[in-house]
Amino acid sequence: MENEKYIGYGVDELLEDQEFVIKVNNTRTNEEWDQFLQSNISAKENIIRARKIIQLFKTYEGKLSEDRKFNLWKNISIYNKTNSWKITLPHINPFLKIAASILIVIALGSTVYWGLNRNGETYEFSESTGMDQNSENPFLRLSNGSKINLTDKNSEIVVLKNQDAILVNKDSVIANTPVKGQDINPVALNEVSVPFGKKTTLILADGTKVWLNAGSRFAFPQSFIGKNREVFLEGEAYFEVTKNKNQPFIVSTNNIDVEVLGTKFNLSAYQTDNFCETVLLEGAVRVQDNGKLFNAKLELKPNQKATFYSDNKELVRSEAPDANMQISWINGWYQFSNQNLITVLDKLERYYNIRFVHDPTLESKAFPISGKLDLKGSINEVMAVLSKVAKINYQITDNEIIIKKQD
Amino acid sequence: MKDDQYIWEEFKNGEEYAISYIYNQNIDFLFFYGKRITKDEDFILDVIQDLFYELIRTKKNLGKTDNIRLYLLKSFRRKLIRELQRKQKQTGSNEEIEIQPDIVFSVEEDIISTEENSKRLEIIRQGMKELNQKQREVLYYKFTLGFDYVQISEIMQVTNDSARQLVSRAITSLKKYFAENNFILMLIFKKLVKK
Repeated sequence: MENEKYIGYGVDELLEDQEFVIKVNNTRTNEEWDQFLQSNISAKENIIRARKIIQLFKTYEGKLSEDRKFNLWKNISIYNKTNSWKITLPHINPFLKIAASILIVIALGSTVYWGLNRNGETYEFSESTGMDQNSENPFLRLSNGSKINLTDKNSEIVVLKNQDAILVNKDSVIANTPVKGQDINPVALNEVSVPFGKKTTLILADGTKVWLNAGSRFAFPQSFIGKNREVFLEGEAYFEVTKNKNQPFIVSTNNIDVEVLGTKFNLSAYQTDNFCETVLLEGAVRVQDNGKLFNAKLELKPNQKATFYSDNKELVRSEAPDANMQISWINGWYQFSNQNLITVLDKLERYYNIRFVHDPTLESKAFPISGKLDLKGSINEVMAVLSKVAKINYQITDNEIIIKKQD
Repeated sequence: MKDDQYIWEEFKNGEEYAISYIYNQNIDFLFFYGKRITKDEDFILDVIQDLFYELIRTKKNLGKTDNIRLYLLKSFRRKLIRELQRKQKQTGSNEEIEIQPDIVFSVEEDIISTEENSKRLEIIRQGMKELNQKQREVLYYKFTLGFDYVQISEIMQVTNDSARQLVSRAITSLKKYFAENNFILMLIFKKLVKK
């Protein structure tokens, strides 16, 4: 038999007892309360009186509206990002402080194989960085051949310019010197591979910052030698390019090249999409079809986009007033305005590495939706929100989510 | 409690998820705490933003804590008071009034507002009026949030003894008031307990 804890306690003593106060506040059901009274039967009268006083101070706790919660969080999150970069940068690359200009480009990839000849140059990702659907974590394959697993969900890679080394997640420095006995290959690039459901950030040798989205591969040199600063992308990335007029920055995807004329940009080129989209937020870029027979060039101004359709090889320029929505993914939000439900589902498939199964008629039945999803939550949380907005029913199974339109 | 300690360290180490977790776990609480002190919601949100900015800026130098909510509440209360004072100066009042959080209890939220109930409510409200601002605040920490004296003295920046004294005086005056109105109050409490 348990001893009565509050035997002989007066009202004042009960009120003084922190444990008692917490007990009163945390008791939710009558059954639980009756049980507590039974186990302290001799102090019952005083316990009831003390509880009444405590209950006078019970307050109604509401919830702040989701909208205001989100807006405030957006500010805090951005502040947190800029602040953590500031902490990193001065120690690693003082040059970055002048990296003022920002260019954003989004280029969605096509079905053409990555290693296609482009203007005589070729880049083929090595076998080992192949998009393995099952690979758990992002990884880095250095130009000297070594392979490093990046275990964090959001890992960070910094190229240490004059040290032939790479800093991973602020704590491990990895030497990138040629293995003894092997010839130095001056054009060998480092490659990062980010599986679905993960993200990675990089700082390149020139101080350019790169956010790599889920399901992407990216190749970059240890240092930028030569006429251009050239990097290769498959998937989606947001770039903040350090200005250097004498050495243009070029991002190549399998269909288009984006030449940066001193700005920040976000580029996304997924092979599974049948179009490439380049959206510019600030500054100027030149988008170029890199197929041999076609050589269309487009210059973009802020809030414009260039779309390349791989079916008819057409490159089209149009206005993109919601350009900055396109990069909300770097903060873990996915924001969309008047989007087709299928487009939204495609993005979620990549981000969470899941598959949606739906009736082919869903696309025509679904109306355009707008909103924002917190991608830091679980897929269950995201689906709960999305199903309300898009008026769909869903069922989560082992590795698929079945979508049905609500009647 | 151990979780709080862990999350706090993760935050200090710059883990992004930690700040998001801390924000989401505490934003409603901080906002409604602010609402008990001032009605100006935009003002409250500004102060909360400022609070988080400061945390982020100074994270490398922050101390340890095993109670994040308490930690946030301490600086939030300090900031609120400071900003309220600044606001008051701007609006031109010359009097140097010491601003104290005036915790307003919303008993009415818990009771269905019928004619009959509103009479009883009036008696409870009256009982609350027997308390001064400081007493209401201290009882909020003690009874609503269930803090101990060490925590209360940290928040209110008073000594442990003063915190005890504040509480005991507040309880005495409450009890006295209730004894005088015992009969009517018994009825109310029955209603409250039933809910």
